[in-house]
Amino acid sequence: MKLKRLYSTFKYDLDLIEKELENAVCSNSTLLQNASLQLLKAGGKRIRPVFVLLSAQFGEYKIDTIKNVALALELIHMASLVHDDVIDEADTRRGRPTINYTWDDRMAMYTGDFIFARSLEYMTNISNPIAHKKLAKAIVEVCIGEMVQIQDKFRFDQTIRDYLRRIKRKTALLIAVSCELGAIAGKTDERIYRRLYKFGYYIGMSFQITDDILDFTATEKELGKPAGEDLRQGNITLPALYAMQIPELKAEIIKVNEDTNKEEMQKIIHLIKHSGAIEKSHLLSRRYLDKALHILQELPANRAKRPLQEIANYIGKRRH
Amino acid sequence: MGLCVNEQKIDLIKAIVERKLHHHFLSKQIEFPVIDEDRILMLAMAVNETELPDTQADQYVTSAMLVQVALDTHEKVTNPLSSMKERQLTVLAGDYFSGLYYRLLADHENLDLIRTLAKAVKFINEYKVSLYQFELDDIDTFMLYLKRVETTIIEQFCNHFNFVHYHSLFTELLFFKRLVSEWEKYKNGHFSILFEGLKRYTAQDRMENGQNLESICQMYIEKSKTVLLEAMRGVGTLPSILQTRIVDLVNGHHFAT
Repeated sequence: MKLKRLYSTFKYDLDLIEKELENAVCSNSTLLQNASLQLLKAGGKRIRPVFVLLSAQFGEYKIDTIKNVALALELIHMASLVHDDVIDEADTRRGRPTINYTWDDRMAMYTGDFIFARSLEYMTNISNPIAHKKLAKAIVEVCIGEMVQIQDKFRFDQTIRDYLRRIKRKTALLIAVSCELGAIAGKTDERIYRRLYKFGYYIGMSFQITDDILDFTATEKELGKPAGEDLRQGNITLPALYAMQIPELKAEIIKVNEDTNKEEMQKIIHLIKHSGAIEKSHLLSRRYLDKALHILQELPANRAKRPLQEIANYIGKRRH
Repeated sequence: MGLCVNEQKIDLIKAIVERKLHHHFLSKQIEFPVIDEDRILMLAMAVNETELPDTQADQYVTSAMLVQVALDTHEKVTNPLSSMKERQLTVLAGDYFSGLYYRLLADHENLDLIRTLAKAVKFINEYKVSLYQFELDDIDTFMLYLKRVETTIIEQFCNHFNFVHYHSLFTELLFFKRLVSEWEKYKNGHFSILFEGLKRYTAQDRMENGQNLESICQMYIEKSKTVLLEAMRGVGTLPSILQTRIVDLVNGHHFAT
């Protein structure tokens, strides 16, 4: 089932956000506008705006206010993608050429900075200082997370705790903050927005673990890159960490480097897949998901609860 | 106006900015950013006229400096860096510094200044794209955009605090410095957007044919120097530190052949 079908109830507001995103990247520079639109048109799950809108349902749902948070969060995400493509020297994103590939790194840096500035402009339409303090803290943490990821490359002695802290910063924080800020913009009380933060955090953790499992289990066609590419690039994810608990496997895995060829990678992937590491990773992902669903039960009944539950279940079952 | 800003104040703010920029991992991996003391001086003059408590005013100046450093850091990504890791971390460092500016102002609950600086960043990146992708019609517009890239943060910050008396002086000072820096880059064999622009637009105009690029650049630098000195005379009394700085800059620049 497509994720978008799960939140069809909010189609009108999501369409509005989509239109506003196009307005957000309007620029006096035609090239800058085209570059931003190229990224925008490549689509995406718009998971952050969805969480903002759904969380705001727990308070006063005023789309003219809430949309500012939804736009800000999606723009921050977009800006980070543009810069990530420079970091990864990526040629394509979602099957389309990246900005750094179509133009150059300079253009990508300027586009990312432009989009980030636009996100803050939208965010300043929210007058509650708590929202800004939380978002600003999260943005800084996300940047630190990315730096730590580079620091941790090929560090085979890292712990599962290191990994969990890293994916919290890399993925879970922005999803958690999307839920939290949606609720804050909807003027819910603190008890509610704190719970929604936790819901988003657990969902984000589960989502990233699933992503990391798929890197070993999905096909090259599904992934859009060769399987095991994260490990070959030095990103030690949960399945690899679990597999390395078996000394014989650890001895094989620590040999991986950027020059490891496809055949050797296939062998390593086979070993990891048959070590029980994938099942253990699924279990942890499931535990986070269960925690998210448990938090959801503690929230008051409203029309957002069911879509949130369905999104959680979708994430749990996702195959690519 | 802003006359009480002195060396100690600049040193104090510079130390605050340096502390904010320091990150145990980053600082070991990439070159520590250059902090332009002239910019600190201008920003400090702008907040000096307000009723703000000193510590708060210093934090506002720091936030604008963090924005400038973030933009300058991302400029380095476009230059050849020694390693892939350094390049990756330079991208992230710029993002991190931008995050720090937002966090600093969010902690001070100054949403208006967040908006002012975000707008400045938006404009600057528009100017940069137009400059580097040669989207502009003629050399005059090209020079204007080059100037705006340098001056928009200071200009917007000063406007925010209703400090407009020194507008022409500040903008020309920053422009002069940029022109000189472009000249030096070119003379040292590095890429210079100014010379690229001169090549492209003066050839298009056909008016400047026959003149070589260096002499056109010198002409712009001399023109900027004249405007700068006129602006300095126009504002009347200046903090001695700024006066000395301008005189040193103007006298210190010679066209090495």
